[in-house]
Amino acid sequence: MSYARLFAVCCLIVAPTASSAQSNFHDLLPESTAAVLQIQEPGEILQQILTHPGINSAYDTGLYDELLPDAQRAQLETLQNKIQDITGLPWGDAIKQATSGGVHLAFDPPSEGVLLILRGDEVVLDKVFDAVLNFLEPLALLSGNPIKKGEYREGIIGYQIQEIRFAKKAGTLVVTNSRDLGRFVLDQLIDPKTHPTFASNKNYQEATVVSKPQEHTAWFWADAKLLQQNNGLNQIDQAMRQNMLLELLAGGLVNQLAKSPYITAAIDFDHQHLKLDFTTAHDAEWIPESRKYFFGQDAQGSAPNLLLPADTIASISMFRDFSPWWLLAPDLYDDDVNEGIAQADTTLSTFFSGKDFGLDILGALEPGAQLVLTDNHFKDDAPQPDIIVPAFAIVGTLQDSETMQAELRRIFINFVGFLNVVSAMEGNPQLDIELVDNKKDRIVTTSFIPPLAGQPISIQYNFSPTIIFKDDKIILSSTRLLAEKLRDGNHEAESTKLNGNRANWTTNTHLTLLADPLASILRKNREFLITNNMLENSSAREEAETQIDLLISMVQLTNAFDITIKSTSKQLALSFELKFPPDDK
Amino acid sequence: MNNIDPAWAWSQFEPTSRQPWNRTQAAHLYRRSGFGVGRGELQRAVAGGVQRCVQQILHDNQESQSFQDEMALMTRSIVSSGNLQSLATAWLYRMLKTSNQLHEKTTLFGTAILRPVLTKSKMLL
Repeated sequence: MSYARLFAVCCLIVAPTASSAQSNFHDLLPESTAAVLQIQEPGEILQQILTHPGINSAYDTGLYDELLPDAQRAQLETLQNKIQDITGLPWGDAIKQATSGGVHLAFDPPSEGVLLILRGDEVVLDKVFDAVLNFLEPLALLSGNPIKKGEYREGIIGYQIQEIRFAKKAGTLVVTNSRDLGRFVLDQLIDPKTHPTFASNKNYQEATVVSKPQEHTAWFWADAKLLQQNNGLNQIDQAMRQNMLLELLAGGLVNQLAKSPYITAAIDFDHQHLKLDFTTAHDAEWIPESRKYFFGQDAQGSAPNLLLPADTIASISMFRDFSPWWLLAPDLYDDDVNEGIAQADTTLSTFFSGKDFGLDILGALEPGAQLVLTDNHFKDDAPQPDIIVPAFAIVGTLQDSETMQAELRRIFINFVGFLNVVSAMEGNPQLDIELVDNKKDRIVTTSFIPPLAGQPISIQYNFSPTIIFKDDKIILSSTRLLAEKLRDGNHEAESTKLNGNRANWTTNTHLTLLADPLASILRKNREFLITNNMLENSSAREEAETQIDLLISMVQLTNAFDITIKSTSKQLALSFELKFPPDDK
Repeated sequence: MNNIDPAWAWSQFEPTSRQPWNRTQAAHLYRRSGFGVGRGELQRAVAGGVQRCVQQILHDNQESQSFQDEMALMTRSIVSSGNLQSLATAWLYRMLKTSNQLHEKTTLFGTAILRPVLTKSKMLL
């Protein structure tokens, strides 16, 4: 795409819009509109971005220079200067006033048209428009595609750069790639009752009532048929059938997407967070038998609370009924995956003393699991490896703990013995086993025999696999310290505090990633990461150091990242939230 | 081969009009003593003369202490990771980046020639 076209779209996105006297934007769109994006106060978003502490950090760390080449930065500055010169306002204020009526983006399948409507203060909008036009004209001329002009109706001037067409009328700027769509909007602006419009779309109306677009920084609606008709769902379904983990994490969303009449996405942004919240309709009737493992029989399965011990890097908690998931795998996955599952099932049955893995072992667990990944710590007298692998643990609940504890303890010991045989064959260190049987809990823990003096401390010394049974809980951890920490303290975060404005929704899945501990473990492994970078990219050490330090700096620009799946009896939401550090940090 | 005069074979190369010291000769020398160099380096080698070029390859290309420290860090990091296969990649990296290509070429030559012989004679088994 030429600079002229790029700027025609990008710069005008940040430009002008409407006053209250103007007609509602729904009345400007054709009835066949299938997707809309509404940004209520683009000027406010721009201010939030420009004053965001992360932007200053990006300048300081050189990230801004990395991302924006000199030539583009110079063009952006030229445009800013032109806007300031012509409007007489600081460019940020000019943009804010020119877009005070909001920015709306729409897609119309019959015309394959994408439409941008910007509305704001008419006087400022006119001046910003002139500034942008003044900026684009020489660029368009240089690229061999000069801007064409022509009158449409009632004195409205239309402009065209290649396939991009734009025109303005009374505080409304229209940009589109489709002539027919552009004319439709201009006709509606001149005479609002010319055609049937998008305002009568019932799905859209229903979604706006439930989702309240005006409460969000930006709000998106799409007719689900758009996804269903464009093979999008088949591709998603195919991806799920080929990937066990993907199906386990998000498989339940597919059937809801297939049946829901609409999809909405609410975007919220301020100095504290950036949140993207997808919502669809939800109905227990739409869940097939093979995916009941995802939501439970009543479609309201609730995930356990998140585990958040000190130095947590990542934690995930989810409602999943693992036994039916494993047993109904032939309905969920393709032949390749099922072949692997069949092999694993045979091997696991051998490990588990002839018991059926899906029925007897996974069936002995209550639905739901908690997984946690933390920074790894070592006792003072323990060997500390050069490369630190995070400690991780899985916590589940046993249905018949008395019977299963003994069973699983034996299996764990067998497994350690097997590992020792394999390690011995490869010349790796051996695990020593220790059994502790308190009245409160039972522990089977292992540790690698310390290396001889002078020998390197290999990566294996990050692990001391441990299993702890406490009441009906089973804790399987990569290290003894983490297992004991989870046993001794209450590290569960209260879900009500994490649910935010959806406190009455049921949390099905919650994943959180915390930036500070992640940056800490990256720093601990800096040397290893630099070596990897040097070998993979054949880069000089200084270059590799810069890239790794930049990566760590980028992680520290954030505070946490959350993904959640929540539901009510009628709606299903998938949310992504990036949290930023406090302004004073 | 038996008729080669050792005195001639070991005598210092002197450019002649039939066999001048030019880019072809310099490139040949760099390929044999290392892994080749770029055009700029070849031009400098021709301009500096053959004696200076040989002197540089044999004596003046020693690795800096900082480079050797970097390589030591890299080796330690790979050994710590337990992925010893990466040591081969690290050696290739060293061949690419070292200033002393002759040293690495000789090592490669020694490894390629001697290892099969020693393995065959069970000295390495």
